[in-house]
Amino acid sequence: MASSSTSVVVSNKEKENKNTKKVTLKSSDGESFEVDESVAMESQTIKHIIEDGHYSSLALSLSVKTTMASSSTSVVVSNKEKENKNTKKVTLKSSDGESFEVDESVAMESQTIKHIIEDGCANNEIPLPNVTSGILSRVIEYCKKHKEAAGESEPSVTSYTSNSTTNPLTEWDTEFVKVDQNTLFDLILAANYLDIKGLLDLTCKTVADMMKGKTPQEIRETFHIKNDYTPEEEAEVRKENQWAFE
Amino acid sequence: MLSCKSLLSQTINKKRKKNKSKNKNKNSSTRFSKKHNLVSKKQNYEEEEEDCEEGFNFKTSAAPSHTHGVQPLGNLYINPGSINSRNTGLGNLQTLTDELVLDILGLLGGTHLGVLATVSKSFYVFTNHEPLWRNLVLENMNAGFLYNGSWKSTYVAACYPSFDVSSVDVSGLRVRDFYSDYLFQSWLCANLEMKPEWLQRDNIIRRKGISVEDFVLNFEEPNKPVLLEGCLDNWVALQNWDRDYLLQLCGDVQFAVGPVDMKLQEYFRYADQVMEERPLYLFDPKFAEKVPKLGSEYEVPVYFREDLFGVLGNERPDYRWIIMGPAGSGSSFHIDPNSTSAWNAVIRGSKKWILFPPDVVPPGVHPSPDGAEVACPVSIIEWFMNFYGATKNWEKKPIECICKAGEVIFVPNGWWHLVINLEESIAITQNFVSRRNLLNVLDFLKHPNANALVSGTRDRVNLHDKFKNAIETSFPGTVDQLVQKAEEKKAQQKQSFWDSVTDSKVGAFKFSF
Repeated sequence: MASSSTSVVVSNKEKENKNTKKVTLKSSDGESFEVDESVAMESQTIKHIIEDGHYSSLALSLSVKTTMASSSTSVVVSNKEKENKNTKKVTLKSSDGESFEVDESVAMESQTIKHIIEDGCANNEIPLPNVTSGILSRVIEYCKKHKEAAGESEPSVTSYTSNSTTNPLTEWDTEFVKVDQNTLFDLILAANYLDIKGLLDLTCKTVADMMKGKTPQEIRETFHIKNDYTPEEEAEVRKENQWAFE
Repeated sequence: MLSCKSLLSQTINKKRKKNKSKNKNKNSSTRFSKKHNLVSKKQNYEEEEEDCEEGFNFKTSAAPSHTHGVQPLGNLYINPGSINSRNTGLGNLQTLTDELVLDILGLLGGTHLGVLATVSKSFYVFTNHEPLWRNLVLENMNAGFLYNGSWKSTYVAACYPSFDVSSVDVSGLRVRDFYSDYLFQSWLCANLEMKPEWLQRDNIIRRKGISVEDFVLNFEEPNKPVLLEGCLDNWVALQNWDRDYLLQLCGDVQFAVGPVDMKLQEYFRYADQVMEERPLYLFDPKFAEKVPKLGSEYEVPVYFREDLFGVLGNERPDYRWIIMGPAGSGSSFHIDPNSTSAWNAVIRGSKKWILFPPDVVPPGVHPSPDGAEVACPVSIIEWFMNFYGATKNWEKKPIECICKAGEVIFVPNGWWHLVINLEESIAITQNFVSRRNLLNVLDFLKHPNANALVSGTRDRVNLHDKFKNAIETSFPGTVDQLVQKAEEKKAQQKQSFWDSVTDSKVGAFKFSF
């Protein structure tokens, strides 16, 4: 390599330029050069950086024999990974045949799906025979929202807590579960099947809250429960649990 | 005098079946069946003379049992036209599984559960599920509680003292047409005895009066389990330790019982009454500190006296426990902590042991890849029901035995083991490190995941360095000598002893109570 020290900024514009893959090289004085990736890869250094894909923010002092920059420039490699994260996608197929393409990282909020992917069984679509499209779309919505929040702050934020001062998602979660009962129970079943702890905790807590502070008759009305006690039996059971009514 | 509850008696229950009317549905040809076996003529409990080889026997119990008439789902299928009151009584909730319903109920307090019980028969059955009340007691009353026949009763008596719990008919309401596999299985496991065929195999090597050299050469070095007889003969504990003596000595001392502390007398009271799938187990690592007399009435058998963790003095991890538990209590499959070996001496009662070598994961057990977690989803008795039979046809069978009072079992490092008390038992167990497994212990402690894997001490990450330094101080050059010896051995053999014990890194100390 040449003796002058230079540094190179590589940004991966993969996402924006699907057809001819381009990369943008940014010089230290801020000038950007968009080039075909194949051209940039004439530089072995840049080639390796692109191929690795796991680079972190580095300032490299390189001696570069450049066909790109006309003057000696300093080149800094920066990690643009964050902008281009989540390009890996996976397709989930609901029980009624609808396909949903989601970012892999979002899908992996589900431990069940995570294991399928890690086991290498997710090449085509992941069929989810226990989840309808209506429910699946809501589940995906939940996962997306919580994944975003995790990206911006501590991962623990995404788990359900009822303390709204620590969990900025509480309001969103509360709105999320304002659905009819059947949907709510289907969400519980889906969260259980897909093993999404935050969603399961949220939905179960919602149902538990619906049971609190109500009389037995109100509970029956809420959940369409038939009272199958005879009057004598009901009196007996009431007596047994009288302490709970005082 | 210990309580008479036992898992050993085989012929008890044929006569008692008339009291177990909960098992019978008088209106139909309902059978009690094994979970996935719909109909089997052999399992007809209504015919008391029938040989019950295939069926189950139930525990002797002085405590009345809660009977609500829950039946397994299979019975519903052989009863065409029958409705399941589980569903009608749950309303919109019926689409949820039993476990999910219980998860939701688990978020509620005692009062809510009491109110819910009156909503429908289905809710009655669900809200009376004992584990719910057990959790409420253990979470809210960890300063101590007086067990009162059932967990629900214990909770109500403590939180609502003005309510007269004894006025309630203990057996409660009987519910018809309620079918649920989960609840049924839960009840079944709480009430089962051990089947005779689970206790038959006894293939451990037994020795009496062997020399320490013999033990080291034939068992400790090759890492093989052995049952030793006659080495507790001089233990004062063997003469003295029965309930009366212990109550007198330390009845009001708090001992560690699973997640809580309990006074010994409270624990015995619980043990006498309880009938559940996973009874609480008294397992205290500080018994000798709490009651020095207990520590003085036993001594480490001669074979196990070399215990190198001793160089750490007070900073050594937990190493000795007194263990007491009613029939049915025990430990599900696990590997002992820190790659140590162990001995377990039964002072009263008897224990069934099943051991698998380090490289054989027992059926039904799922260690995580790093070994920090061991998932054994079923209780001990359910493990026997569902997985024990699988081992019958294996070429390499597990090592099994029943260890009785006065006997000591040596559990080599890295071996999986499961223990169940067949009757109320009292035992002492210690974990130790000798020169034979010093190197593996050091390796284990060096493990990058030390924080999760190392147990019995608060100072997990530094334990390796502390221990190594202490060994060097007390026994300079030992580690180097051992390393050299091991390398020589490795060069000689194709597969050395050390290769086989490195597998002991899989799995870690994890009891489920």
